[in-house]
Amino acid sequence: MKKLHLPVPLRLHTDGSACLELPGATVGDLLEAAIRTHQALRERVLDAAGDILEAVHVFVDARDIRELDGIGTPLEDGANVWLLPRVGGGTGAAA
Amino acid sequence: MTALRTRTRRLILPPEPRRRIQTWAEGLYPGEACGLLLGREDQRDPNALHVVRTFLARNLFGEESTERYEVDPVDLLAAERAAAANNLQVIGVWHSHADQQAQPSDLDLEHAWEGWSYLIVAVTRAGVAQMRSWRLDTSRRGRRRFQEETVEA
Repeated sequence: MKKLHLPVPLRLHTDGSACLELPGATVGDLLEAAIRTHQALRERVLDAAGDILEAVHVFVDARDIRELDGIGTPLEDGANVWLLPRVGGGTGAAA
Repeated sequence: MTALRTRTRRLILPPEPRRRIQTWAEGLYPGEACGLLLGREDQRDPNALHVVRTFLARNLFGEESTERYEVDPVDLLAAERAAAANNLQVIGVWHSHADQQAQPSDLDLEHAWEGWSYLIVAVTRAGVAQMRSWRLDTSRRGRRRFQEETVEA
């Protein structure tokens, strides 16, 4: 099993759990397992093509999956996967 | 007849975390400083959040950026791990507005997530002038807008 850690904004769309224990050979499998139970997560994490939204970072242990194999990144048993909102803003105009 | 009233949400910011945010915001002026708020819900009042710890984060736009900020996700990960290890939650985000009001911009609204507090620190050359906090509300037909919450010591 793997651990999927959820920040507060995504816990609103589950049963409130900070961490879900789920099966999954890859990051994509793990996210699909979470979405099967908590369908509202899909539009907040994945785009229509099934890729991770720009507004979300996914880390496996301490590494961003964009530096690894994306949603195809393999997961070892006991891996910790973190969903992290992209946090930004400011006074300037949007880029 | 009893009228239904919407209770104002409250962010409880004790003196020590307030002082740390003030020091960071003034130290990085006129750059936009940013970071995370760690805390917990009030056990009696579901509308109140207590800030217990604050984190300074790296701004991916650079320390010199005066108009944009983006929290380095590595720092958010560190904050989430620290929160989990201490039975806390990352309850929100803080950032400074240099020589501007402590009101959210269109850019802040565009990037906001529901469920977090967004503490904005207005800072000038003379120091921090004001701290105000906001929460994203999408309850009206999904339209995104900020609702202000009170900031209390």
